[in-house]
Amino acid sequence: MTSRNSFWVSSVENHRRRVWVWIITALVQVTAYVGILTVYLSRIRKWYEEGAYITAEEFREALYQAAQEALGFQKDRLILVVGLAFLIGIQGFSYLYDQKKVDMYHSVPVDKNKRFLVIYGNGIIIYLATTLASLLISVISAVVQGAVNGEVMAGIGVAFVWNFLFFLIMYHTAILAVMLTGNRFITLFASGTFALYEMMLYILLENMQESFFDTKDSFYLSLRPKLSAVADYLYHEHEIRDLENVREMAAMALPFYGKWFVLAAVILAAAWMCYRGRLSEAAGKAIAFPRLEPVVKVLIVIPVSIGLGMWVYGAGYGDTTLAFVTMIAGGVICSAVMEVIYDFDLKSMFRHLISSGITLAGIVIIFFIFKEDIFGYDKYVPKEDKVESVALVLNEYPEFWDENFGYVDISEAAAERMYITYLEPVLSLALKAQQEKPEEMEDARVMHVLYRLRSGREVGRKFYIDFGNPANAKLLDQIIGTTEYKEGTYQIMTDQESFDRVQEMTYSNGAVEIALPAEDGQKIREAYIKDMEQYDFTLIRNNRPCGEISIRFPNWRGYSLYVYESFENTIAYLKERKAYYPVTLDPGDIDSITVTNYHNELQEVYGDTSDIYDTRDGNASAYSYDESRVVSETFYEEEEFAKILPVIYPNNMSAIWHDYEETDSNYDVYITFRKDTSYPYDRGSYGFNYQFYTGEVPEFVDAATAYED
Amino acid sequence: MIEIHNLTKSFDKIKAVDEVSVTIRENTVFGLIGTNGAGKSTVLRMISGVLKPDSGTVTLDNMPVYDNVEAKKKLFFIADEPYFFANSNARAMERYYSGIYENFDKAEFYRYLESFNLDKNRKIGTFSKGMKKQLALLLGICAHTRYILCDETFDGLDPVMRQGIKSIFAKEMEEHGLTPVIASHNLRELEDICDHVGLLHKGGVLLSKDLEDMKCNLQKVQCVFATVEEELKALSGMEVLKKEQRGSLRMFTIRCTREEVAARFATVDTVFYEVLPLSLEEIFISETEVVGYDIKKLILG
Repeated sequence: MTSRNSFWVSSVENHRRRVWVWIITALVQVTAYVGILTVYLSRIRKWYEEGAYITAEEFREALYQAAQEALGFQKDRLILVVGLAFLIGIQGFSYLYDQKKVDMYHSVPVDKNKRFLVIYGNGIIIYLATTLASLLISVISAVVQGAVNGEVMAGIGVAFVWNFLFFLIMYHTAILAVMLTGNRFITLFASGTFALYEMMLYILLENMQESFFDTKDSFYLSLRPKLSAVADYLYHEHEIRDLENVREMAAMALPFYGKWFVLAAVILAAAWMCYRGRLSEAAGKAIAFPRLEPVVKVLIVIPVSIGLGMWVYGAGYGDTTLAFVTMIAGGVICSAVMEVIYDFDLKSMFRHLISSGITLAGIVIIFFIFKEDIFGYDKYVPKEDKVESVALVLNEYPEFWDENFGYVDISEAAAERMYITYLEPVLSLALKAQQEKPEEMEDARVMHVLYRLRSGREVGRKFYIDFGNPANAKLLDQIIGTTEYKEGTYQIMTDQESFDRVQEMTYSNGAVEIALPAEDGQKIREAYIKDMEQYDFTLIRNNRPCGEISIRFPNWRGYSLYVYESFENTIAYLKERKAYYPVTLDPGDIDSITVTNYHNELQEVYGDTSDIYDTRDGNASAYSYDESRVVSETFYEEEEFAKILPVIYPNNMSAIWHDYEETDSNYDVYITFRKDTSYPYDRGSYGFNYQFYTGEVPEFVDAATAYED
Repeated sequence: MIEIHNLTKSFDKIKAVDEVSVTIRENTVFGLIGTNGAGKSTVLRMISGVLKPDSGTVTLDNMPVYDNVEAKKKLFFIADEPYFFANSNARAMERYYSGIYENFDKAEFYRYLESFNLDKNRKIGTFSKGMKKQLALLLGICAHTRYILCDETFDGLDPVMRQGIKSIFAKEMEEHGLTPVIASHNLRELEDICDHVGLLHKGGVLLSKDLEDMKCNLQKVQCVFATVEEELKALSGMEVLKKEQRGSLRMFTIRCTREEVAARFATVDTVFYEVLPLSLEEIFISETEVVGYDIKKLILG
């Protein structure tokens, strides 16, 4: 009787002591739900009333969407939930910071567990009561305004559970932080550290890998925290929000509900154990359990110091010495700061030198593990018998889309669709890449590889391949020539349905642009797939596309099919549609050709040319142009055209498989068609830009555009 | 009965209480005396279950106190700076404590408030330090626990108030068997209240005795002997703790009863003798000097 009585007395008294928390939480939640809903709905109404060209049905849909956005999943709610969880959690148990309060609370005959339950439970009540009341008011308001249907309500429910479970984790985290500390500010710092620690470690790890390992690749797999609820919220909340219907939302949120519930329970258990073990005299101290002080110091100072060093590394253009010195200095300073915080005494700066020494040793070890690649990260090439399959993206990044024509990144598409099991060429190239530096290669191109190991593990790496090395051609043929590569890289190979929904198709040889019937989608696909049988590295490296078929699908998804002269089936189709025009133009169609010679050899180079090793002849932006040295000459004679046209290639045609130096950036070639020509060039354009193949500039052009001082 | 056995407590490697053993009998007023830092508050906090001893035991009516609600029901702890809820008044505190302590007597509480001229509706934050101590004492008394632990609670109370509290203690002791345990650094504050005194110094107990016993067993005798032989005769076999001489006037502090002094001095030839009452201060001076301490430095300053 007494204990039950004391329980309720404590509970009511606890609520009395937390009136200001009630008020703040209620204000925040009313603003976050009722306020935001009001703004969103009034905006839609105003837009409609001011004459938006939408139907009544579309208006209603807009209201539903606004209500869903205001009351359902919302990125900004993360901050609010974290703030409220920390406020409620820390304030609830803040009596533990004050010796006077501890004297009273710990001497009265109230069971310790019951006190925990009262404070803990009241915190949940404060959050739930204010949130549900705000939601209720909002929903009533939304119903009155016709902004709610069953789907919206269900979506709000899914988001409510999501936010409540997230609140629980943050609330429990704050309580755990209170139990481990004895001071409000340290608790706040600890709560933030707990909430973000794993995520920050992963960010730091990824940064170090990217800085020190050449083969580090986040293309397919990026390091994602396993336990951090904040990371889950940041990385997945928008994915759920963007889903089409509530069933999908719930299905995607459900695993997080489970994970978060378990996580919340584990953190709560830890907090409760710390509460049980916490001594009253911890009030006012930085750390409630003195034995944890060196552990906390090591766990905080090492990542902070390394983080500082990596920041300097990034800002200092990769100066490892400077980064290392910063890490060590950071370690010394942070260790001293931690000791000062522990004792609230400046004189304690150099106490506990053993833990400071361990911290510095940890920094040095970690730095050299990465700097010297002690564990052979860059040397990693799995044994063939350990690998089940690989996916790879080589040199180009074609566009992919899903069944709703939503964007799908090539990395995701390749990881999902490409299963190359003929591993030998991939592994050989990976091993070869370790022997060569990209800056020493003739034509270095990046390959992103995803190894799917038989153990179930997936490992992503990137390395460079020298396209200019003929010895690599055979290996690349064995990769690019496979059906697995083609199907994983080009959506046309497997996606039949999309070609029934082609909206627009054109063919271009760099100057003409001929419209093709949209209903020919399947026909083109069929022809192109047949031609793709011959597609391999040798074909695309030794031949430039003679044309390009551009296809537009719904939702502005687009696609370019490069046509090579050996693509008989595609070209036959184009000829049938009278759309085929050779890439080499007919001199009879040309009015004039203007050649501009930039005389790069006379231009001044600015900046550090070692950073632009492949741009000296390839990228004019590396030069500070003196316009007086640029010489232009226009040619009008057909015989001149006949010499120029076979040695130029259209600028707007893709040549990504070719060496940048195959065309000469020293010149611009500008072609103007005759007005009376039957050639169906785009007459709206003034002209068309081409480039000379390197070393094939006709002598008379060179002579005519020579620079004379 | 509160039994403390070999109690030890350290804070950050500093020993605040070192192997303290004391027994506090029921229905007595126990004074715990010691300098600042002697460990009085730490002992009281351990008795009240606020602090967990590093070693040793505290039992209250044979129950361990730490983390034991049943034991805590029998005690009320008033810290040296009692905590009251922010912006609360006496009524709010009564509401809280009456919900916690099943025997809390609300009517008595408000009666006492009136007699001590404490406004039940006035914010406690506006009370003087003395008024806060009075309020804390009244809350503790009206909780009707068997033990009330007061840490420096009487320091700063004016004599009238102290007398009032003393009367209430006497009444409560008689009616409800209350056992007050009062810690103070000032010996004079406790002189008229305590029955039994424990002296703490540097975390350890120097002595623990009934005041009455100490008073009855220590006599201060002032006399002039007829001859030196008479003096030797009078003191032979007596435990003389202190001896002072001013001309022919002798002053002795002797461990014996008043009757023993009278019987012995009746047999010797004295020009004049009288037995004087000892103040608590003098008793402590004598007792602690015996064990090698200078009490003046410890407590009396």
